[in-house]
Amino acid sequence: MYPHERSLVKQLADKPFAIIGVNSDKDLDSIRSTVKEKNISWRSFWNGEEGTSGPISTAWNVKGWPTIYILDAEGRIHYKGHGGPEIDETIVKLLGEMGHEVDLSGDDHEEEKKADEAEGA
Amino acid sequence: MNYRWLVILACILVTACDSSTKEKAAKNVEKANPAETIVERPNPAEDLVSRYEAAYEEFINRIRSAAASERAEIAKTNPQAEFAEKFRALASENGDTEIEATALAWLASNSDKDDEKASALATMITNYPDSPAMKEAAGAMVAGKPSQATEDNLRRILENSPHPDVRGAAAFHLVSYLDRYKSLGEQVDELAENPNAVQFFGEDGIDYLRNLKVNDAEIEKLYETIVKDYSNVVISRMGRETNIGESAKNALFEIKYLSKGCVAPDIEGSDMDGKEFALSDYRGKVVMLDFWGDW
Repeated sequence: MYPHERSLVKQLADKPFAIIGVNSDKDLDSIRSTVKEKNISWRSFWNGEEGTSGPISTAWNVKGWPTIYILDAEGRIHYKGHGGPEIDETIVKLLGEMGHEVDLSGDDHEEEKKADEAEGA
Repeated sequence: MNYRWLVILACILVTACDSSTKEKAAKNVEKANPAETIVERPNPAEDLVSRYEAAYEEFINRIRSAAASERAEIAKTNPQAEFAEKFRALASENGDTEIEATALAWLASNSDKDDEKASALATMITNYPDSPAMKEAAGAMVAGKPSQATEDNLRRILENSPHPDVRGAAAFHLVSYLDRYKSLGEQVDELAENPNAVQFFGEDGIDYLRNLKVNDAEIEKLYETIVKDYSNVVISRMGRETNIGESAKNALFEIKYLSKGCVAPDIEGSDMDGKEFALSDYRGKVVMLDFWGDW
């Protein structure tokens, strides 16, 4: 997933868009070094020492990773799922409704997505 | 959140204390009046299940605490094969008894051979539909490929089993099954194009998913039934215990507050540097909320 997210952050840098993570790794030190290594620039809540059984993922009934929600500017849920083209489509649609025309079908993005698949994330 | 856990823990402790008191009371009756007490024959397969669970837990803990390079070697000491032999022997020596039912339920869940899993399950369904061991077998049903037969069998157990915890487990496995295959059914055209998926589910499985009409109201009703009637039932699978009442409550929360179109509940917490923030700080922006982990 990381290359896809890095690409979104890069392409939508000047748009009203944010990625917020909920990280479910148990070991905070090791995940901090991953964040540096893999250039994860977006902010994440930490789900705590219980990892995937932590309080945030439990409250949100998350059972599969990754789970993605897309929220509009009012916090309303427009997408929930585990990946696929609907993520980009939803983001483009919601930004469009706010008057920001964006195109995520560029070559860069496609390459990032391929890198995603190669990474197997 | 913390309070909820405390309440559940308290419920479990109360239940545990309650049953041990009953056992003591039963023993006292036995002593006082031995001639009139019917002492049930102990089920050696149940003892074997407890011994397997302890051995498996110990095995998993050794794997978890080992260095990555040692794991392959430790994996060879999985107690499963040794116990499978013992359960096979118990089943064949104790035909038409609860001992066979318990042993078959274990094999249906844990055998390393797929055909043995399937035949143990088939025998359970035909010969032991009313056995308390059906609780374990219901878990084995949903581990296989989706099919009309699986769905029908779970519904039959839920309706007919005389044991509340078997009905609870059947309700939970049925609703989890319907929930899971509902979303897969929505992608059935993509699945049918994917050779790996076709190989995994089989043509029959794909057809079944194509025709599966999951009723959202039924899903909600099953979760509500679990909360109402079976909230203390705990199912155990591969060393993990699940309180089905708690899971059903979380699922109902998701249906009510985390469906498309709902305003998402806020999250307040700390980031990975310990700084506090809230999801609602990002109102005014399109937010991609990403539950992730690096594993």
